Amino acid sequence: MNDLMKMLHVKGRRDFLRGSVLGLGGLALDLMTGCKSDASKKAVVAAMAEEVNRPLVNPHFMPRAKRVIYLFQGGGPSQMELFDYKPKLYEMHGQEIPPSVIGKNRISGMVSNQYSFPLAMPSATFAQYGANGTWLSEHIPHTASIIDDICLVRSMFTEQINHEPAVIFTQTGNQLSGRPCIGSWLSYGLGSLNENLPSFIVMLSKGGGDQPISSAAWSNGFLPSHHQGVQFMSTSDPVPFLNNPAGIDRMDRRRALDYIKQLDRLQNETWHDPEVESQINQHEMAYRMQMAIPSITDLSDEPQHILDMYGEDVLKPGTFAHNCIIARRLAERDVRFVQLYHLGWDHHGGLQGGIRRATKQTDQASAALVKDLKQRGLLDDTLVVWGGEFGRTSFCQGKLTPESFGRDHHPGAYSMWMAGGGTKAGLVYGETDDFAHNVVKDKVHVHDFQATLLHLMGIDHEKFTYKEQGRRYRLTDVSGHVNHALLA
Amino acid sequence: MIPEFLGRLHPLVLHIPIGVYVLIFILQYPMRRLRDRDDILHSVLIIGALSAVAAAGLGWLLSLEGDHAGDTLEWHRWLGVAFAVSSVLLAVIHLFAAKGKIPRNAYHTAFFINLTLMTLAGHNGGNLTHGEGYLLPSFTQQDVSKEVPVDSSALFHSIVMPVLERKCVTCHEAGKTKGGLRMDGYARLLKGGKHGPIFVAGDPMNSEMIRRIHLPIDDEKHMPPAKKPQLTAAETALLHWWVLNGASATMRLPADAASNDTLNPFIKVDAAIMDPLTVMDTLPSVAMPDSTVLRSLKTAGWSVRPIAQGSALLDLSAVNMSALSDKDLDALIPITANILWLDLSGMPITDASMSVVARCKNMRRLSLKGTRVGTEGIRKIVGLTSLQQLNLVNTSADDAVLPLLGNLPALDRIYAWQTLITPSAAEQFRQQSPRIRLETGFNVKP
Ligand code: HEC
Repeated sequence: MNDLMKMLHVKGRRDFLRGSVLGLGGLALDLMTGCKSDASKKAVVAAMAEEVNRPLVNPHFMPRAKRVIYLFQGGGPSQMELFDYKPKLYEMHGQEIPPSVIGKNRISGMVSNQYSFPLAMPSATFAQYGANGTWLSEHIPHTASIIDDICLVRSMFTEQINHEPAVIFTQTGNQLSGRPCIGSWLSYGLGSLNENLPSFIVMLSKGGGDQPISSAAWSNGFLPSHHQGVQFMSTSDPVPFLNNPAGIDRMDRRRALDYIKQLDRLQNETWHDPEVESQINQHEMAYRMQMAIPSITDLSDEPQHILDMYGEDVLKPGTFAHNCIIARRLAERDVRFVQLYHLGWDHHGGLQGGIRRATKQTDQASAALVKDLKQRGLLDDTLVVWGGEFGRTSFCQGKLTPESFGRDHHPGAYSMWMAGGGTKAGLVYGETDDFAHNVVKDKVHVHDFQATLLHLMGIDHEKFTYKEQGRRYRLTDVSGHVNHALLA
Repeated sequence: MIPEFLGRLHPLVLHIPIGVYVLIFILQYPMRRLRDRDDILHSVLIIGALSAVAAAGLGWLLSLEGDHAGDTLEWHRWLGVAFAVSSVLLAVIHLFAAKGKIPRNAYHTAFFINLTLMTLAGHNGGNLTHGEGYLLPSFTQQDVSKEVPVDSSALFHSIVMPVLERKCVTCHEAGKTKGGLRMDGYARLLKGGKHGPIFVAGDPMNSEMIRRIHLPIDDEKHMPPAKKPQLTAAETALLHWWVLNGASATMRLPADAASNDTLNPFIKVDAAIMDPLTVMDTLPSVAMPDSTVLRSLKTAGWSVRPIAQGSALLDLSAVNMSALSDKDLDALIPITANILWLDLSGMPITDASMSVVARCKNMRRLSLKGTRVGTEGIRKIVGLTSLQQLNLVNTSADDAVLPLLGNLPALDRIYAWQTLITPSAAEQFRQQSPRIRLETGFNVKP
C-alpha cells in the first residue's frame, strides 16, 4: 500500500480534508516566509490552526465567582408548592383556570386532550421568612432558614416543555443535544484550578425519580472531549478502578503511561487530531485522580455536627445529601464546576406525596451546603444554583380529588435560586400572575440566566465563542442578557 | 449601451495619463534622465496627451449616466476637459521648445500647469467616488465619540444623525446625490430619493431605507454598498428602532434608554455597574509581574493566574501544593504588589510567614484557613489597608485578633469559624465594628 492509500484507509473524509488543508497551508507558508526549518514551520501552521478556537484561559474581567455548584432539580419542581405563594389558588380551588390566563401558552400533549383545567390548591402551607418576610412553603424549612443568603428568582421561563429538550436547553443553550454544556464551556474556557482533579464533575443522586437523564446534559459537544463532565458513580467507589491491580505499582503505571503518551504523540504527528491530545490529558488526569479522589470521598474527617447538618442520608453514597457534602469538598479543592442532578420532581400525579419526598431528599442538604460554604468563607466566590428545567401548571393534570392530583410541565413560569458567587443575597426577583402561570414582571429567560452565570465567572457571554463547522457558537446561542439586578 | 460601456472605462483609463505625467516628472527632475532625449520625451508626451483626451472623453460619457450630480461633478467635468486641452498644448509647446523656437522654460511652466490641473481633476474625481473627506478622514471627520449623555436633547440629532453621517452621507449629500437622495439633514431625509420617500414612520418593513440596510451585503441594492464601511449590528438596529418608533426629529431619549438594548450602546450611562471593565479601572495599577518569577512560582507548584486577561494583578493559590514552609513564601517577595487574592489554605505555615504577606499592600482577599497562623501572625498584617476579606477558619486565632482587625479600613468580612474566638468577644466585636461582618459559623440545631 502506498502512503496515499494508507491515508485514505486510516482517515475519515474530514481528517483527510483537514490534513490536506494544513499541508497546503504549510506549502503556502513555505513560499511566503521561506522558512526552512521543519520545526518552525510546524509551529506556525499549528498557530494558524489554533487561532480560531482559543480558550480564554483567564476571564475577560475580574470574576466574582471562581467556581459553581449547580444543584439541578430534574423533572420540574412545582413553583406553587415551594417558592411562589399564590393565595388565589386556594380560593379558586376546583374552578377552571381563566382562558385569558392560559392564553396562547403551550400545553403538553399529556393534558391537551383534557376537557377541563381545574385549578389545584397547592399542597402546602406558606409562612413568611427572613428579613424581607418572603413567603415560602412548609416543605422547605431549611431553605427558608437561608432565605437571606439566597437570591430567589420567581420569573424564570423557558422555551421547552418536555424534559429532555428542556434539560438540554438549560444546560447547553439549545434544545437539541450536541452543544457543550455550561460546565464544559467553563472547563474549556477557564481551565482547571486544581490540577489533580477534573474541572467539571457530575454526580447523580439515585432514588429520585424514574425520569431518566441523558449524559448529553454534561456533554462537551464539539469542545475537546476532556472537557466533558466526569461522572462520579453513586456507589461507595465513585470512581472505579482507583486502585492499581495486584502486582502493578504506581511506577509501573507511570512508565506505561509515558510509553503510551509517546505513541500517541507520534500518531498525532500525522493525524493532527485534537482528540489525541484529549486522550493524553485524560490518561494523565486519571493517573493523578488515583491519588486525589480518596481524600475527597473519605468522610471520616468530617465532624458529626457537620454531617448532621446535611441530614441523615449524608453517609449513604448516591444520595443527594452525600453528593452535596462531596460537592463542598470539591469546592474546597477549587474544582471549577460541580453539577448535581437530582431527579424526582416530575409530579404528574400524587403530587402531595411526591413533593414531600423530593423536598425531604433535597431541602436540608441544599441549605446545609450553602451554610457550610458560608462558614468556611467559600460562599463569596462559589456560586450555588438550585433549579430545574421548567415549572408546573397551576391547573390539575388528571382528576382533581382531595387525595391526589398532579401538575403538568409548564415552561411559562418557574422559580429557581442562586446563592453566593456575587449574586444579591436576600433578593426576591420577578413576579408571576395570580396563578403562577405567566411572568408579569422582570422576566428571566434561560439564556439570561446563562449569560449572568458566565458574567459572574468574569466572562462576556457574547465574546466567548467556539468555531465549529463554519460558525461560531456560544452558550447563549444568539440571545441572553446579563441580568444586573441579580448581582450584588 | 456602447456609450455606457465606454463611460465605465473612465476609472480605468484615467490612470494612464496620471502614470505618464508622474513618470515624466520623476525622470525629468529628480533623475535628470531626459535632458538630451527630446525624441523620447516627445513620444511620451504624445501618449500622455492622447490618454488624457481619452480619459476626459470617457468621463464625459460617464457623467451622462447621471448617478452623480452637483458642484463636485461640474468641477470635475471642466477640470478634466482643461487637463485634456493642456496635455495637448504641452506636447505642442515641447515640440517648439525642442526646436529652439521658444524658450525651454515655457515648456517647464506648461508642464507644471498641466500637472496641477491633473492633480485638481484627480482629487475632485476621488471625492466624487469616495466622498468628500475620504482622503483625510482623521482631520475632516471629527473622531466620533458615539456615546451621549442620557439626558441630552433629541434622539435623532444626538444618536441617529451621527450614524447617518458616518455611514451614508458621504454618498447622499450635495455634490454626490446617489439615487437622487440626500441624507444630510432631517428635511432632506424626509424628501427621499428618486423613488420617493425612503421611510414610512412606524413601519420599518415598508421603509426603503430600512429594507436596504437589511438586504444581504452582496445584493446590489444593499446600503451602504459592499466594500464601503458597513453599518454595525447596533447601528442597523438603531435605525430600525428609530423608524419603528415614529422616525421623529424631535423625540427625546426615553428615560429607560440605558436598559434599552438598542439604545444602550449609544449612550453614556453610569457605567460602574453596567460595565465590569470599569470595575477593573478601580483596581490598583501596578507594573506587570516579572514572567521569570511567575514561571518559577508555577514550577514550585503555585497556581498563578492573572485576575483577568491582560491584568497585572494576580490570583495566587497554594491549592495544588502539599507542603509549604515559611521560607518558601520568600519567593513571593518580587511580586507582592501584584497579589490581589492569596489563598494559603491548609499550608503548614506559621506566624513567621506573615512578614512576607504583610508586604502585599494591594491584597484584597487572604485565606489563612487551616494554617498554623495565630494572633501573633495577624499582628503583622494590620498594615494591609486594602484587605477586604480575611479567612481565619480553623486557625488558633483568639479574642485578641479582633481588636487588631477592627481598624483595617477596607475590611468587610472576617471568617472566624472554628477558632479560639469566644462568642462573647465576637458579639462585642459586632457591636463595635458593625461595618465588618464576622462569620462564626452556624449553630447546628434544627
Ligand atoms: C458608497 C456610496 C453610498 C453610500 C455610503 C450609501 N449609499 Fe445609498 N445609494 C448609493 C447609490 C449609488 C444609490 C443608487 C443606486 C441604487 O438605487 O442602488 C443609492 C441609493 C439609495 C437609496 C434609494 C434612493 C431611491 O429613492 O432610489 C436609499 C434609500 C439609500 N441609498 C440609503 C442609504 C443609506 C441608509 C445609507 C447609509 C446606511 C446609504 N444609502 C449609503 C450609494 C451609497
